[in-house]
Amino acid sequence: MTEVRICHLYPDHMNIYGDRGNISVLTKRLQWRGHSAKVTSVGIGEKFMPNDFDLCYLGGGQDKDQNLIASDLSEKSPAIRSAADDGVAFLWVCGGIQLAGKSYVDALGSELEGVGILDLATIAGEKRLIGDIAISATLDNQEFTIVGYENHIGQTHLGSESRPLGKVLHGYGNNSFSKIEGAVQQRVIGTYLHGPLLPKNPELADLILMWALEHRTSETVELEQLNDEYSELAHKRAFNRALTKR
Amino acid sequence: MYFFARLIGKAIAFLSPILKQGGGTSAPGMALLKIHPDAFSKLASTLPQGSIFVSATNGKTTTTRFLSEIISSDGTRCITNSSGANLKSGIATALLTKKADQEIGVLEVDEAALPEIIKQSNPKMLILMNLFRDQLDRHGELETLAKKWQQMVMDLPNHTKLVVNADDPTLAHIGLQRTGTVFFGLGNAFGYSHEKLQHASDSTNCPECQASLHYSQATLSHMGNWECNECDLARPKLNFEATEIQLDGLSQSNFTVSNNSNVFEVSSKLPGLHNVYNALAAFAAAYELDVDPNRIASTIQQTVAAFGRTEKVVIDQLELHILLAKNPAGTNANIDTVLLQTGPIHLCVLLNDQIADGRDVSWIWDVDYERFFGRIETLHIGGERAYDVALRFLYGGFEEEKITIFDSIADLIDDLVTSIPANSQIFVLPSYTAMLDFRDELVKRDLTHAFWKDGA
Ligand SMILES: [Zn+2]
Repeated sequence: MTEVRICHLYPDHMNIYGDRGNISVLTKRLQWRGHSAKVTSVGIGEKFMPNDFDLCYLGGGQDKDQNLIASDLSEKSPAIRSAADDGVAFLWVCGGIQLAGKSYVDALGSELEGVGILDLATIAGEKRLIGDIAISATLDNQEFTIVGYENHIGQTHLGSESRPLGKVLHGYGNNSFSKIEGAVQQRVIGTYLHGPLLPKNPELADLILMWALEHRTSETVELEQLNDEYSELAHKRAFNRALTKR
Repeated sequence: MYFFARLIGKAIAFLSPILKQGGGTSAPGMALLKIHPDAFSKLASTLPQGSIFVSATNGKTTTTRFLSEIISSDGTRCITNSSGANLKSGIATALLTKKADQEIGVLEVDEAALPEIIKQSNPKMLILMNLFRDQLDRHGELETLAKKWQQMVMDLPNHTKLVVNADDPTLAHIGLQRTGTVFFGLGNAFGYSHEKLQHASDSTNCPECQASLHYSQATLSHMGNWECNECDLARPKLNFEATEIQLDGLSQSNFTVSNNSNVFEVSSKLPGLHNVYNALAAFAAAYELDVDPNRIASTIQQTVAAFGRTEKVVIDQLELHILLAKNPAGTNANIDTVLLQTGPIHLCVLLNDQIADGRDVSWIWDVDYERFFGRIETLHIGGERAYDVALRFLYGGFEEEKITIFDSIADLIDDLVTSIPANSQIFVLPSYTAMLDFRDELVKRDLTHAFWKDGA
């Protein structure tokens, strides 16, 4: 039995789309396998200690909330970067992927500095990219589809050091033209598939947990299969939603 | 041209209930506005006593119902959109079907559609109830909507009376921009309020200085008695305050309304703290319109819920309660209400992802369903996104053995009728179109009336 230490960054501000669902999934899938999770909220004014965590989650927020946390996040940046370099698993979604990048320029043209754990930059576009989305991802030599919902105005462009999380099967993804979605670098995953994406995407959840367990134990980890019948049916339903034009 | 367009609209209005086109609640207005885009302001000006608009994320249908019943209780002919068609086309339809002797409009308006409608209609009164996160895919961020409302209130004609829920910090801040705003809110709601804010709380930062807010009482989501930790902003002085609140299960609520000079006893058949807000808003509005307070109170007492909003349906020996659950704040309020009942809960959650439901179903993860897990005996799940609901409960720690999932609403109702023991209470929490589907099935079985006949 291993205790995985999860950091939930800014849960009070960056929680616009039921982000706590992802924390529930990570916690429960560990518990169902005899492991455990220790979830620590780290908010404004609280220290982020890079050696304290195996997994770090950041969700999405309104523009207002994103601005409220911005200066605090830049103080935490060096510690967060060192955690990423040390192999801590990261899942940063929606506003999270934007803040994980190098910079975010909002609709008024003012620039917010990102943490820089992903090689990408984001500029607010003309129209919001909203709708069901399905992507095909390849991670650690596994191929699987990821389904969810996106709602963002950011147009994100990848640099050479990050690779895409997946190809867009239907929906927008990082921007309105390139048909790629998200970014991966080291064990950092950024994606626009917002809010509770893990309940419907158990492969992704388990891959992140495997990374976190490996970081914790410094050993290769195999995860036993769980009964994912509901997840598969919910996944299928969302996948069909994304492929059907509405 | 206008006359001709109006004629076509009227013809469609007459035909649509027969053709069952959405109950005939929006099509005529839509047709009219297509042919004659300026028709709206003309229609709005045809009411001799003007119009009253009610807007909110939650509670606009119920508040509109309370207020229209109060106003019409002395024989005043009042026009209202009781079917809940609250976009511009739906309101145009309601105005279009106005009969010659109708004098005043009491109309609920979609919160995103409100600013444009206000611009074109010169209202007598505007009632602002609350803003919660809801359908971010359609309405956008709450902050953006609040800014639009702020501008709308700044541009409001001088003669428009503004009635605002002071317990919602964002709305109170907007209301304070104007002199003469009528504020209502809850006094001590001891026993029903929460010690800390619920998870799905949105505006917990000061609308003036962004510092965090302190709550001496939290009622629903971010509503309550609040003050800023840094600046002078606090909940404004209440012109109408509800106190001595007694919620008696699902059967009724009692409270008093005080307005500085007088205290009035109010009793309502509509359960839950959220309905206290709705009744209080209607009380305040009607009082400002010079309606006799005794008549206000007696009408509130007689008013029954609008379709799908704590609607009670009896099937054989079963009592079924339908509580529309379309966003986190509203669903949390429903859970509070269900918890007022003693005894086991047979729960039924129905989730669709049509436009009217919000296509993004992420919001179910912001609802605090866990609060009644221990009381739930059986859980029936249905709707287009049933498996998302199942995952929400499963990952929340709910026992899988108690869950049954149905592909069709008809099968789900059959199972409720056959598997739930007699004399039980069933609580149905449906999203908007799931509520319509569920009611359709009940109408087919002759267990309730069709929704567009509501109030008839
Ligand atoms: Zn302040």
